[in-house]
Amino acid sequence: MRRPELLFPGIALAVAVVLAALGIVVVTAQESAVLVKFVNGSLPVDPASPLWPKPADVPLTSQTLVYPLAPAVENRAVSVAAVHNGTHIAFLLTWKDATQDAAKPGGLDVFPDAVVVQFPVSRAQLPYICMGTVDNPVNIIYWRAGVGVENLVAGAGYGLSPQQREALGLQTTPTSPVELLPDSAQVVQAYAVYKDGAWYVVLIRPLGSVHPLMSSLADDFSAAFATWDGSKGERGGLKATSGWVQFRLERRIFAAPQPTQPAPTTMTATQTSATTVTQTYVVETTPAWAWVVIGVLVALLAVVAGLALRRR
Amino acid sequence: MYLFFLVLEFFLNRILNRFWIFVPATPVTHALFVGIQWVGFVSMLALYVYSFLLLGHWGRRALPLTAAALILTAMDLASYVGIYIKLLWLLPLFSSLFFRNKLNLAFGVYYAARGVVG
Repeated sequence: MRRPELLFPGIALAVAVVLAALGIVVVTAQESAVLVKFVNGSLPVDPASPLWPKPADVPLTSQTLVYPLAPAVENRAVSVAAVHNGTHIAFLLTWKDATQDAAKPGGLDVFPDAVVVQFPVSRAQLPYICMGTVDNPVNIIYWRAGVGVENLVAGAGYGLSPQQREALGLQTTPTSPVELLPDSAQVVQAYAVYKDGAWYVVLIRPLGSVHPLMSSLADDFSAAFATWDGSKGERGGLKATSGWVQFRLERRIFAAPQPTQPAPTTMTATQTSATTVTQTYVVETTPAWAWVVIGVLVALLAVVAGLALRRR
Repeated sequence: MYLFFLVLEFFLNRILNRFWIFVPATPVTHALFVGIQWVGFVSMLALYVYSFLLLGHWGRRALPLTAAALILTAMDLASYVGIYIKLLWLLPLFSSLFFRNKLNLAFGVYYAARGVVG
């Protein structure tokens, strides 16, 4: 029997190629992700709802690119919990803020407290964390106290021709690197509560995308966060930002929708307008426990193979 | 050969991936990036299989280490079903009890410290 210098690596490599080809993930270099819990039925809009899982603390740092820079280094964080029901996803964002700063109609003297969630539009490569680039834009949900919520895109503007922009429902000429998506893509809802020196903001959006520049979250995704403390004069680029955070959707197998039986006798002559219903089903054919078994089994078989080769 | 897989995995998955933001995105560079990701992924899997092959090949004297590796790996993989008991960072330190030299010990202490802190 030859020494195992080449035999073992050869076996390991062959098995690895087979595992990779089969999509069996027994080991990963990624950091653990925030689990987006599955809930059956309506998503919670109350921050105190028991349906929310334990939140993950995402550290924020003052941005260091845009002047005026933050006056002091401080420990800031946003707590993030997320749930989905197969068609929509809800984020509960909680952060401490000693003062409640909400914009008033016509008022110019208040910088409102605000929060954003930023998603990569493309899955090929994570975009530049500071609101993407021309060739790798980001989709942003922007909530401001007293103003409401907006679904935005950043980075894409200057990389598109006027014709492309018109086709996407954007203004013909971009006026800012951050732009409002068209009305048809304003599908985000927000519910906000300020209590005991902290903001509790619930953001709900479809899991799927309704616009080419809106991210689909129907599979595992990344997100980044930022908050503004209005009382400290924070606005625009003066904010506290996070790095990219991985999110993993808790899988549930959905039964295929059963065709409904037409009513046998009733005939109606009412003409209804055609509607397009887009529904995202998160389907996972392999249950999660199987990956655990496969991972341990592969390790065990490798040990046994090593032992067998030693004895020969 | 073990070091080769280790360096390949480390270089492709942890270093080159992060520097790729400085490379202009074109169809060619994107294809190259996907290629790098796949080679890094395969070398990571190869490292996994190769580690357990070697543990098996070391036989009875590595039995406690093999058992610890299997148990800690199983616990780590259990995060797929929502059980988060990640103690794999103990393994290098445990391993250094069997292969006693300063490098192994330093490696073990480093990962144990990282595990405790993070």
